[in-house]
Amino acid sequence: MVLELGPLVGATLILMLFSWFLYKQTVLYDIAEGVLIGTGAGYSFIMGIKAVRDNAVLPLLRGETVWIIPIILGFVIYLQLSDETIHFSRIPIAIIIGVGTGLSVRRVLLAEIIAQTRASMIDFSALDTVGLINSILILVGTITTIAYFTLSREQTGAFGTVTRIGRLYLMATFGAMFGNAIFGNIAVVAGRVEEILRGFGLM
Amino acid sequence: MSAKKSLMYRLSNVPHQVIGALTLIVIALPYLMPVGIPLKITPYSEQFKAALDAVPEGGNVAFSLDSAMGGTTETGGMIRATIKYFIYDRPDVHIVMWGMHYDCVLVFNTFVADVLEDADYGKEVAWFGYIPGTDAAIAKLSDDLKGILSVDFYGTPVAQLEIMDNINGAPDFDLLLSFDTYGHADSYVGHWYERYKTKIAIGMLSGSIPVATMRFTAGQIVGFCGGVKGAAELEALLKYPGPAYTNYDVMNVANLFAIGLLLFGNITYFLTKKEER
Repeated sequence: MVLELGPLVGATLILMLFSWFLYKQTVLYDIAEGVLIGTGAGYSFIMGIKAVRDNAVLPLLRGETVWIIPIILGFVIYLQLSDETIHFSRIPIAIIIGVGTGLSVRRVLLAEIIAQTRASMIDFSALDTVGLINSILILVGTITTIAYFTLSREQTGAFGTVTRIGRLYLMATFGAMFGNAIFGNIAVVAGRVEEILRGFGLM
Repeated sequence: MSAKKSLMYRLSNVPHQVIGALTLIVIALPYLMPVGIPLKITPYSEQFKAALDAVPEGGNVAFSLDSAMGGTTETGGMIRATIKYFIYDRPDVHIVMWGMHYDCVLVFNTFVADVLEDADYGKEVAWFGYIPGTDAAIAKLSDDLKGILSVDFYGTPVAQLEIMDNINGAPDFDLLLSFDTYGHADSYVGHWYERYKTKIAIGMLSGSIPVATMRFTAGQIVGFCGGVKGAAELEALLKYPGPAYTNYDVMNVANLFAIGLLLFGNITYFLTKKEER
């Protein structure tokens, strides 16, 4: 059995982190947590520096002078470290928020609202039995869920029945998402267990 | 002196350390002694494979590694099977790779790098590393790819990469693959599909399956592969068995254990409610 240093160190650190829920918060857990945060921050810093170098500095050095603008704006963000210059840092932040919001609005309108609305307009005549049942379920779900969020009218009587069906759809959706999230988290733990077993040469 | 507690009451108050240790043991056992639970291929995985097969000869594929390392228990198998499929079975296809999550370099080194050693770098494949900027960067890539990708990960100017000669944006790709754990696929759908109708297939965590199903039904994506099960199915379909099938075994056993814990917790809660009061 040959143990490699990298996986062995990784497996040991994972075990140290697991000590928190297998026993209690210990100095081993604190050390592993510190290593994780430190290496994570260092890695992110290096990736950030590389991104700025590849995407802005190198093109600038090749003569693409337009890149001087984002580089200067990037440095201006650091002016928020002083109370006297903090107002300058709001310029690049405003640009980031403005561009981000503009792009998001376009994306959300196209992909989330228009496309999804169009997708719920179904030609029932062109469907087989299973497709028809699915489409009816989608139609009922869409109408009743939207009805549930109609807050300008009291949800009683026939309208209350409709909104209760909408609530059932929401609960089923949240349940499915919660179940998937739980199993996703188990997958994360499984991955770490696999690393421990590999690290100590057990598989 | 307090009354003696029933066995059920004591079981319902098992320390979390015991449950934690049991969970780890239950997860570890199938790794050491594989169960070999049969795998049933779902139509969604078949659609994902069909999307890969539909890339025309000599076509261009954008390969976006948007997974964090923590999520690769689910996405790692599908990434590896897909890149092997293109490099070994479809060497005519050009692969341009980048990642929108800063872990992409780690993911690349773990699941992709050794496979690319069998490809002609610069002609068949190019790797651009981490692209910062998330939604804004994805929008810019769709319009003016070379406006962002000026050098590859190794510092080679894009003009020296033959593969990039005829690629300038989303319309030049026959398929975009996003292996995503952070919602970047939503940005691809918004900027690449809705504006340029670029075909998109997504590999993602099991938690994202409800959203992906909605997008698939709406025709915004041509296929998706979700979670460990989806990855195992894809490995089987592409005939490149890998880590996902082992993890599928583990997940089945672990999920049954989790369901058992949920049932046990609820049953003991109701049975001991009176005693608790």
